[in-house]
Amino acid sequence: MFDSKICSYRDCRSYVSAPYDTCFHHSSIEERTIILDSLRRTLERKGLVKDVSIIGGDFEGLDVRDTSIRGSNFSFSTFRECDFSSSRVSTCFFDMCVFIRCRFDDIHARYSVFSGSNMRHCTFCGSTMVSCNFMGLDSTHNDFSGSDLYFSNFSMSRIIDTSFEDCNLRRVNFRASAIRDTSFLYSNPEEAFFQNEEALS
Amino acid sequence: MKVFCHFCDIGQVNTYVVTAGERDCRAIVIDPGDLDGGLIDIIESYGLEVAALLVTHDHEQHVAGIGKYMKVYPCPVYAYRSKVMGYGTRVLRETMRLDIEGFQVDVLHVPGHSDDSLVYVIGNAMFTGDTLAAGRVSSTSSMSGKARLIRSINAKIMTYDDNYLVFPGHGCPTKIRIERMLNHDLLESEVSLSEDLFQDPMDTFRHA
Repeated sequence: MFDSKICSYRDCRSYVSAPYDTCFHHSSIEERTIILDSLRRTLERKGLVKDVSIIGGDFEGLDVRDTSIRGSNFSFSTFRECDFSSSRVSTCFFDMCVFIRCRFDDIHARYSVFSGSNMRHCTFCGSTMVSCNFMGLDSTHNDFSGSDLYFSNFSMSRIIDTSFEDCNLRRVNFRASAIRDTSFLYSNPEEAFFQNEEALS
Repeated sequence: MKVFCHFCDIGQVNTYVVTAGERDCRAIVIDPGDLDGGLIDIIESYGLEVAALLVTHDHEQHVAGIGKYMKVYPCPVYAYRSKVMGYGTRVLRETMRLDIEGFQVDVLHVPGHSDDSLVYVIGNAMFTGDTLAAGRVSSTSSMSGKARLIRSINAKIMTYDDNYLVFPGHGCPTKIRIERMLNHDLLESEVSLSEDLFQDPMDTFRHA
């Protein structure tokens, strides 16, 4: 798991970006460059990204294909046109992030958090995302087709023009979500929870 | 610290294996719902030594595996009750700080779902059992019980920093920040639960 030390910057409660004693946001430009270079080198080797904490990062065109990401924290980050296809993601935190035109096809994610994130034009086709937290998701024009979403949580979300076709929705939670122009064709929504669902007119 | 999350098919419960670090093989297991192949794989492949079992509450799906652990990885069991599944435990009480094999564990007693519900805080991670899950609080036997549980959660759990990680007994992990913003039960309670539920019923007659 990423380092649980708190940033030394005054009044900042974020986790540090190891080995430094400040969070990514409060790191110097040199420190940020070193952290990002290290991440890029790991990704180029298609290796294991683990125990990394980059809060408020800004990533564009990142190639994260066929990579394992474990115990890492990318809260409040922005990902533009990043490709996570065929990656394995475990116990990672992508809460309050922005994802634009990212690919998560054939990803295998478990116990990971995407809560409060804003997703636009992303694809999760053929993925396994078990016990993942998407609470408070703002989803527009995304495609989860053919995914196994067992025990995942989409409650309190705003889901617009999103496809959940041919998905396993067993024990998936959509409570109190606003859902519009979204297809559940060939899926099993009867095994998901929709109480308190608020339909957008 | 490392946290391994494992989904036990029996009872659909999350069992967590917490280790101290990269070179430290000691581990504690939280909510031993079962000891199946996946868990044995985690323990053996990382060469872990199970130092203790921590029980969040004595419901069968969370403790059914204790017997198997006692046979394969015998170690002390920590719980609120003195006996769980017939095995003697080291009894925990309200707001204790324990040192278990080098792990600093804060224990919070948050009754509501059951009388013996405990929450464990280790480093920046909180293991809430059935007390608090992503987006909801646990089931209770009555609405007044739920109100009291929500008040306890607000007083004991939600006082922690936004960045604490929450690992519940069922479902996906979350953070205190997310629960503060999006937990349906906690948000609803702010609007709809009357303070009357916490008053002494006799007050009604005294004021009449």
